[in-house]
Amino acid sequence: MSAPGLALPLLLAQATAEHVEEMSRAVGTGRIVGGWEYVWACYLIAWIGIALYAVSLWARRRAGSKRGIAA
Amino acid sequence: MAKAMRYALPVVGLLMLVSGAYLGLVWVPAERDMGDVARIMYVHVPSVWMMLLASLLNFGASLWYLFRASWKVDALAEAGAEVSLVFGVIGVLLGAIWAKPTWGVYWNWDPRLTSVTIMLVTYAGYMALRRFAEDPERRARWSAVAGVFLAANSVLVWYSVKWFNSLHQPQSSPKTTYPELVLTLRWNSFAFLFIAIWFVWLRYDLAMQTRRSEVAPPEPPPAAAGSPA
Repeated sequence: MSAPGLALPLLLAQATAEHVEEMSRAVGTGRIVGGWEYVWACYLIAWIGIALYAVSLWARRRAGSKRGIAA
Repeated sequence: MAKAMRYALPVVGLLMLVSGAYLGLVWVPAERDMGDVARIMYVHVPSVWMMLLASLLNFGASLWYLFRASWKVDALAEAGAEVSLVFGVIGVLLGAIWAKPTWGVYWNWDPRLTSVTIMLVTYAGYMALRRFAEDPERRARWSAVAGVFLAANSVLVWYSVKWFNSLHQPQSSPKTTYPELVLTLRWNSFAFLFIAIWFVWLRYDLAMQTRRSEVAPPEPPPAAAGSPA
């Protein structure tokens, strides 16, 4: 087989190897990498939610006590 | 004793929440498949558990009220419903954020997410019902009936991942996970539990305060009470 005859199979093999590598990069190892921004967002929402509800309870109880005194 | 408990609950809950954040964000290793985003579990799962626990309280108090009407029991049902709604909203928000890196979307109408949304909407309706009914006795009776019916949805939320083909994973058991995960989840769950009990306590007091002002006899007008004429 002459050298020009090898060109096409070599090209195909190279393209396949590149494709497999690209696919592997896209699929990854099956493990989610990174995502700390989601983690921080969740912890902040949980803390802020709890704090806001605590403040709301405190404010409503205080308003209720004032109404009670006024009555 | 009650006063000491009242101050101890938020302090212990807060300390456990801070140390639980350290455990969840730093100490516990990343999960095998989900990596670091699995750390969301340590705030998402306790929030949803508190939602279900508080809804159980609402159900118990509602049922109790139907057999033995009392303002205290009605106030407990009201506290349970509101605390359930608060933790439910937090839990669903965190779940939606966790869904993005794991499922690729923030929201999916699968059985678990649909049932929990219905549950939150119905509890919001329950709280609206309490606001609209002016007569305290009628309000308490209607709310008690509603509270008993709403419990069916909590059962549906819990079993939705077992009964239906859900994208949401079913409940894990300590046997299928690693010890660090179990410890961190339990630690954070107790932190949330102490805070939830404190919230129920405060909300119960608030409901009783409102009830007392509603059922108190009307004050005489100042002119009639003070004027000698």
